[in-house]
Amino acid sequence: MENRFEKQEEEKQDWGAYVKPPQTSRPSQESEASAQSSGEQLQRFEPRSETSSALCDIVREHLHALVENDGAIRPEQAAAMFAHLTICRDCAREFDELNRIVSVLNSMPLSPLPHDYSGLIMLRIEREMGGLYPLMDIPPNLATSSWTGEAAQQTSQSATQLNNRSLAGILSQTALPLWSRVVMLGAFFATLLLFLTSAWGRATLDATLSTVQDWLHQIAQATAEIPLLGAITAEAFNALSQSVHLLEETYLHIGANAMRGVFLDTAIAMGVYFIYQGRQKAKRAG
Amino acid sequence: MRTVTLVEQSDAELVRHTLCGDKSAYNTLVLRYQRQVYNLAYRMLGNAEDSGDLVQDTFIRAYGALASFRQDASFLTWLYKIASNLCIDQLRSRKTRSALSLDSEREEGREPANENRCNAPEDMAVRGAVQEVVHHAIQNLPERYRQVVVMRHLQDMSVEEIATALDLPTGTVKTHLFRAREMLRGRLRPALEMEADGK
Ligand SMILES: [Zn+2]
Repeated sequence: MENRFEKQEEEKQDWGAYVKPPQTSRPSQESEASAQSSGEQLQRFEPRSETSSALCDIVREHLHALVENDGAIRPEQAAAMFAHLTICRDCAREFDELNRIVSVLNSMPLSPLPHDYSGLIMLRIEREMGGLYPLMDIPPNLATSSWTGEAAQQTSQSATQLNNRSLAGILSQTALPLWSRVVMLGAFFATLLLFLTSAWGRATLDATLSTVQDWLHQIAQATAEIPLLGAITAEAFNALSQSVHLLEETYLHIGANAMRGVFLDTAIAMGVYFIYQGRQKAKRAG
Repeated sequence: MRTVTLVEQSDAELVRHTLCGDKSAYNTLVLRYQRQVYNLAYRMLGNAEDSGDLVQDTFIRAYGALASFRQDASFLTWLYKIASNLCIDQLRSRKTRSALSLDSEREEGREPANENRCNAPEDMAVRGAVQEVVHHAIQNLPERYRQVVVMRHLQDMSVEEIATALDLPTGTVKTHLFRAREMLRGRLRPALEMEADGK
C-alpha cells in the first residue's frame, strides 16, 4: 500500500515538472458551476489526456459509484463525468472495463445442486437436536396462515394475560420461567403467613385445616381397602394429616413479628419483580 | 382455513410451524433455500465437497438458533449470515493449515498460492470457459472482498441486505465491493479481452 502511494505522488511531481497545473482556483469552481467548469477544464486538457490529469483522478475516484448507479452521485455530477468520458480515452476504457466486470459477474449462473441435502439435514437434526421444539405455545391449527397466524399469536398473548390473573393459571403456565414460578410460590406462602399472623386469619385457617385433616383421613381410609398398595398409601395420608397438626403448632409458636418480617421481604421481592417485568414489556414494545 | 395451505407458505409461517414442532415445515425451508446457500458456499470455498458440508452445517445451526430469528427479517439474509460466518471459519482454518506447510506470508490483495490458483487464465478463456476464469479470480480475492462480490453479483443481494447479513455499515460494503471489482478488473483483463476478440 505504501509503495503505491509514494508512486502516485512521484507521478504527480513528474507531471508538475512538465506542465503547468491548471490556473483556475479549485474552491470557487466546486460550487454550482462545477459541471460547466469541469467541461472547460476537460477541453483545456484534452490534448494531454495521455497523462493523468487532476480531473481524471477525480473521475476515476467516482467511477465505481457511477457504475453502481445507485443515486450516490448527483445527476449533474454524473453528467459532468459522462462528458469527461466522451473525450478521455483512458477514463472511458476504465469505465468500460468496470462495466464489463459487473456484467460478467452478474451473468455468472447459479451452480446446480450436486445433491438434495434436505434428507441428510433432517436426519442430522433429528439425531443432533431432535427434541428442541416445540418451544412455542401456539396451537398449530391457529397458526396456519400469516393473517390467522398473527391473530393466533395475539390470542395466545391475551390468553396468557388472562391466565396470569389466577394463581392456578400461573402455576399451570408451562411457558413461565422457573424463577418467576418461585416468586409466585413465594407470594402464595406470603399470603398464607399473613393469614397465620392475624387472629381472624388463624381462626379461619384452623377451621380449614381441620377440614383438610378430615379429607386426608377419609382418603386414607378409602385407599386402605386396596390390597398391598393401599396400606402404603394409607400410611402416607395418615402421616400427612398428622403433619397438618405439626404445621399448625409450628406456625403458632413462631413469633408473629418474624412472620411479618418474612412477609415484608416477599412483598419487596414481588415489587422488584413487577417493575422488572414492566420494563421488559416496555423494551419489547419499543 | 384449508385453502390457505394450497398457497405457498411464507418463510415466517414455516419458521413459526417449525418452532411449534412441525419438522416438515423446516424441510420445506431447506428445499427452498439449499441451492442459494450452496452457491454462496461454492463461490466462497471453491469446491463442491466443502460446500455441501457447509450447506448441512448452515441449516443445522440455523435450526438450533431458530428461536432467535426475528420474524420480520428476511430468512434468506439470516441464512446467508450464518453461512458466510461458517465460510470465513472454514477459510481461516484452511489458512492456518496451509500456513503450517507454506512459509509464504499471505497479505491481503496478494494472490494466495493455494489450490484454487488458476492456471494461465488465457488457456481457459480460449476454451471458452470465461466463467471458470471468473470463478477462480473470485477465489483469489481476499475473503472480505470475496463475500461481498459473491453476495452482490452472484446471489443478487442489495448492498443493504449484504450490510445486514455481514453486520457492516453500507459504506464499508460498498468500499469492499469497489476494491474487489478493481482487483478483478486487473486480473480478468486478459480473459475479457480474449472474449471480446472472439465475438
Ligand atoms: Zn480522464
